[in-house]
Amino acid sequence: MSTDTSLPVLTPGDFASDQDVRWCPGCGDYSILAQMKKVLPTLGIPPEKTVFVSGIGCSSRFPYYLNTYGIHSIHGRAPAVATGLKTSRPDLMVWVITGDGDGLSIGGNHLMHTIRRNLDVNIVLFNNRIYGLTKGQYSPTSPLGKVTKSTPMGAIDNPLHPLSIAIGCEGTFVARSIDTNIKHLGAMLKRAAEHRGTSFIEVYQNCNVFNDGAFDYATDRDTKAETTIELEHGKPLIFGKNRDKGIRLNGMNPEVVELGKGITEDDLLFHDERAPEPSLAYLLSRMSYPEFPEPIGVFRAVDKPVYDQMLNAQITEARKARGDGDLNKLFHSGETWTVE
Amino acid sequence: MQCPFCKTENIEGVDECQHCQQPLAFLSRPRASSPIEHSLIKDRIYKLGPRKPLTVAAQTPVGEVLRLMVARAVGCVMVTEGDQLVGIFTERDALVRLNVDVATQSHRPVSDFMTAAPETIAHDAPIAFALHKMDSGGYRHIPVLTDGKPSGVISVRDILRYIAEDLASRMV
Amino acid sequence: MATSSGLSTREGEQTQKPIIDLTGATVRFCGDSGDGMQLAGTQFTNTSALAGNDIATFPDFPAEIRAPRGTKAGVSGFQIHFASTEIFTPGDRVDALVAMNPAALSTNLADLVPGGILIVNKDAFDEKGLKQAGYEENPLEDGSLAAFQVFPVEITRLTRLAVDDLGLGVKEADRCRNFYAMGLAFWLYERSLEPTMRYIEAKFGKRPEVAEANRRALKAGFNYGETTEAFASQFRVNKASLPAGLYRNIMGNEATAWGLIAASVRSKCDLFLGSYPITPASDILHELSRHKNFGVRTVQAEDEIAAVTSAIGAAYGGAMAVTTSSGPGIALKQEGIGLAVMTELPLLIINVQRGGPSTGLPTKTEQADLLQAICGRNGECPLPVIAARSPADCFDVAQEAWRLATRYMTPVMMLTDGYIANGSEPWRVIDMKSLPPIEVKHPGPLAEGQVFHPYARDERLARPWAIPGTPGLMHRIGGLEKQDITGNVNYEPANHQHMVDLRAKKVADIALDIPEQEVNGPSEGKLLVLSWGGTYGACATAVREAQELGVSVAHAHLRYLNPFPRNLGEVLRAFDKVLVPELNRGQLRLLVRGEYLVDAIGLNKVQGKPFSVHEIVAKIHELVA
Repeated sequence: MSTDTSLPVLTPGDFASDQDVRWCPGCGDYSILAQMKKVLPTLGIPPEKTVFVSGIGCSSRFPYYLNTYGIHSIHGRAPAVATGLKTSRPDLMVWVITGDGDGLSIGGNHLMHTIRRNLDVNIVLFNNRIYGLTKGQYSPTSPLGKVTKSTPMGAIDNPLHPLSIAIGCEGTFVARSIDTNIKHLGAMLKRAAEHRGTSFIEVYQNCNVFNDGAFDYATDRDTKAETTIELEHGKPLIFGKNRDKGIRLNGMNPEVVELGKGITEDDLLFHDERAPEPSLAYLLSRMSYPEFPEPIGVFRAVDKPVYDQMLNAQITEARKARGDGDLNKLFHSGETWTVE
Repeated sequence: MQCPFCKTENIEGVDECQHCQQPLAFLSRPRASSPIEHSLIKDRIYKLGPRKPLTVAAQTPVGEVLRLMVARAVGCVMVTEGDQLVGIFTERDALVRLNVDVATQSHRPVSDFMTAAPETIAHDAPIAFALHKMDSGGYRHIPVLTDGKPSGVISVRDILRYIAEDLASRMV
Repeated sequence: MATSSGLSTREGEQTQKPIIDLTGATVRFCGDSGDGMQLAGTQFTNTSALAGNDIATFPDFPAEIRAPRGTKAGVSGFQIHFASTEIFTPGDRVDALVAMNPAALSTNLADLVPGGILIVNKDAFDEKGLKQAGYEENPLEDGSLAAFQVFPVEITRLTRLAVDDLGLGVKEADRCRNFYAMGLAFWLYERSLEPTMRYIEAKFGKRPEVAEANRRALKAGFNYGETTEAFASQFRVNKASLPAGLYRNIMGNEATAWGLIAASVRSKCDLFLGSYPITPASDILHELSRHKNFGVRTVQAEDEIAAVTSAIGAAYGGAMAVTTSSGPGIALKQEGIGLAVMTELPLLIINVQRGGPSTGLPTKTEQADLLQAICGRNGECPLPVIAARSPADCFDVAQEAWRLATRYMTPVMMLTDGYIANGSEPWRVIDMKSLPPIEVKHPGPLAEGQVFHPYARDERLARPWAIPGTPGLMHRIGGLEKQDITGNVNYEPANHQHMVDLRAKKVADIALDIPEQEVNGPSEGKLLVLSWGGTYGACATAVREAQELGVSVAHAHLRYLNPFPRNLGEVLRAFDKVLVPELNRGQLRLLVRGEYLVDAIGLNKVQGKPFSVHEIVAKIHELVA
C-alpha cells in the first residue's frame, strides 16, 4: 500500500494519445475533443479508470484520440457495451460517444434502454444532422426535404429531436451544447461527469464537408443571441441581444414575448432543472428554430436510482442473506441419492 | 400467485409450483366476473332452442324468397345447395342489396343477393361465442350447425331473451 | 430394450401375482398440461433412481401455452427410461403408456411398442374428450387398440371415491388423479411408495387435507394394481451397477448454468451473463439469476444484440462474459461475435439449438446450427466450437469452453440442443476442490520506460488481457483491422494477410491443447459411426448393440468441432466407411469431407425429434452388409 497521499495532478497531455487525429480539417469534432481533454483532468479520475466506448461514425473515432481505455465497437451498440462494462466494473468512469446515426438510427433501441435504466454513464451525441463517415446520406435528425446522396428528391422522414427522445425515456440528466461554444461545452461535460445516473448531452456539431452551416443560426455571432437561449436553473427564460425577449407559458405551450409593455420577468417561465416530472424539460426540447430560440444548457438534472448500483446492491444483498456461494453445498441440495 | 396445493408463493404465470410441482396453469384461466357471464360461458347454443330455419335452394328467385319470408314472418333464410349451407339472406340484405330495385330484380336467384359463406356456430358452443361473433361481425343472425349440417338459426333476440330470463331468475 | 429374463415370485406376500424381470423399461406419462404429468414423471424418476436404476428422462412440453383443456395442443408428457444396465437415451419406444385423456392417447400412441401396456383414464373418454382429440369412434371400443394390452381404469371416479370424505371440491379431488396414476405405475414396476410419501409430507404440509388426499390417491392406484385381476403381473428392473457416490438428477440447462458458475469459481472471474429470453435457452438465464450470492451478474438485455455486446463490454472489464441463445438469436449476434473475434476477447456464446430455419420449431430439437457456428460471420472469422453430448456433459463442456476462451483470448461457441437441455440424467456429484484452477492472468502496471502493446502475443498467440483500472496499460480496441503487436488501426495489404492468417492459426493450434479423438471399438475396420452433440446416446447405444452382434463397427463422438482433434483424419481413414448420423442435412459430413477428403455417408433426419436407436442400427447393418 502506497504511503504517498498526494494526488497526482493531471494535465490534458496525460489524456492525449499518440494517434494522429484523422477528422477532416474544420470538423467540429476537434473542438469537442479539445474540451474533453481540458475537462478530464479536472474530474479527479485517472486515465486508467476512464473508458470511452463508441460505435461507428466520425464521432466514434473519438476513443482513439485519448489515452484512456477505449472500445471502438460496432454500429449503434456502444450503450449496450457500456452496460456490460459499467455493471461489472462500477468503479470505472464510462463515456459513450455516439452520433445522430449511430445513436438514433441503428442504435435507437439501445440508447433508449440505457437511458431508461439510468445506467451511470455519460453519453455524448454529436449531432451533425448527416451521415458523415459514409459520405453524406441523411440521418434521423436531418430536416424534412434535405437533399442528399440517398434522397435526391429530398428526405421525406420527419426528423427526431434527440433531447425529446432522451426526456421521453426519463433521462435523469439531459443537456445540449454547441461545438464552438467552448466554455459552455466544457461546463456541460463537467456537469455530466459529475451526475450519478445517465447523463445525455446533445452537441450541435458542424460537418463542414457534408452539411456545412447546419447550425450557423446558432453559432453566428450576429444571430446567436436571438436564436439560442441559455438555460439556468431557477432563472427566467430571457434571450435576445438586449435581453429584451422572454419565453412565457400560454396554457401548455411556450410563446415568445417582449419584455416591457406590461410583461415583466416575473411573468416568464422559470427554469427548473430538478422538476420531478419531465414535462417542462420536454416542452423546452420542442423549441426549435426559427419559431423559438433553441435552449442550450441543462434541461433536466434529477436523482433517481442508478441501474449499476441497484444491480450490484442485489449481489451484496444476496450474499448477506444466503452467504457467499458454495457450489458443493449447491450440488448437495435438493433430491440426492447414494450408490454404495 | 399462491399455489392452492401447498400455499407457496410462486411467480405469476408459472406452469408448475416451484415447491410441490403441481400444475398451476389453470389459475390463469379467465374467470367469469358475474353470474350472467358465468351462465353465458357455461350454457350452450342448444339451450337457446334454435329454431328450424326457413331454407331455400340457391337458385330460388329472390322475389319468391321475399314472399316466403313475409308469409312465415321470419327475418332470414338459409340458402343451401343440396344439404350444404352456402349462404344466408336476411332483411338487411334485402334492404341493402335489393332496395328500390326489387321490382326489376325479383326474378334473379337469391344466391346473387345473399351473404355467402356466413359465419356459423356449433350447436354445443358456449352462448358467449355467439355473442362475440355477432358483436364483432355486426350481424344479428347466425346459422347453427350440428355435425357440420345446418340445424337451426339463432338471432340476437334469442340471446336477449336468454339474458332477460337469467336475470329474472336471479331476482326471485 | 426390455427383455424378459425369467419369472419370480415375491416371498411372504398374500398376492401370488408373478413378477417378470426386465433389464430395463420405458414408461411415459401423458395428459393435458393440467394433469400433473411432469410431477408424476419426476416422482417415478426419483423413485427409480433411489431403487438404484440408471435412468434417463425426457419431458415433452405442450406446443402452445394455455391451450384449451383436452385439446391436442395442450398435451404434455414425461418419459422415463430406467434400467439395470448403463443407458444413454430416454428410450426409443415406450413399453408402458399412461394416457390421461384421448388427446394424449392420439398424440402418443405411435410410440408404444406393439404388445405394450396402455393404461388410460376411461372416464376422460367421453364424447367431448373424443371429439377434441379428433376421434370419430371411441378407440377403447372399436378394436383399434387390439395390438396393445389395454387397461381402461376409471381414474377420475376412483380418485374421487378415495378422497370422498376429506371435504375437497370436485376440481380439487380431480387434481389428485396424477397421484392415482403414479400409484398404479409404481405397482406395475414394483416401485416403493416411500419416496413419494415423503415428498407429499414435505411439500403439502401446509394443507393437510390435500396431503392426505394425495396419499390416499397414491395408495388407491397402487392397490388397484394389486387387487384387480386385470393386471396379471408386475415387472422388476434391478439395480444397475453404477460407480459409488452421491448422485442427483441434472437437466442440461441446469448443468450448463452450474458449469458456468464452476468455471467462474475456478478462474476467479465474476460471471456476467447478457441474455435475452428465447426457447429453449431461457432456463439458463433463470437459473443463473438465482445465484447472485456467487457474484453472478445477469442482465436481461433489450434484445439479442445488446445481450452479446453487453457481454463484450463486461469481457473488456475482466469479467467471465457469457451470452446464451438459440438459433435465431445467434443469427442476430454474429456481428457482435465478429467484434469479439477481432478484439480477441474471451467470451462464451451458448447456442441451445432448436428446429429451424427462422422461427422454426421452438420446442423441438435439431442440430442444424453447426455451419452457422463455423461460418456465420462476415470475413475470415474463425471461432472455436465445442459441443455437449448429454445433459450432465453440459457441466464439463461449459468449463472447458471457458478454459479455451481465456487461454487463447478468443470467443468460444458452445453448442447444446433442446433435447439435452430439457432432458435429465443422473450425475455423480463432484467435489469442487478436485477441479484445478483455470489460470487467468491480467498484466500488472508497467515498469518505468516500458511501453504497452495490447496485441503482443505469447507462445499460444494469445494477447494479454489488460483490464481497465490498471495504471499505464491504457489502450483502445476495436473492430477495424489493426497492426499486430501495437493494435493501431492499419489497412495495409500485407498486414491484413498477416492478421487474418494469425487469427486462423491461433484457433487452429488449439488442436495441440485438446485431447486426441477416442474411438469406442476397433481402431480400424469396416465402419466408423462419427457423431456430435446430443445424438451421442442413440449412436452409442446403436453401436453397442451392433458390436454385441459381432458387427465390425466403432464409434467416435466429437466434442471439439473447431478445431477438430489433431488425429481425426487418421482415425477416419482407418475405416472403410464413415457414417455421420445428424439431425440436419449433412453439416458435419460437409466439414469432414472438406477437411479430410473422406467420402463420409450421412444418415440425416430433420423432424424435430431425436434419432431412435433402431434407425441407426438399421443403417449400420445396411452399410456393413
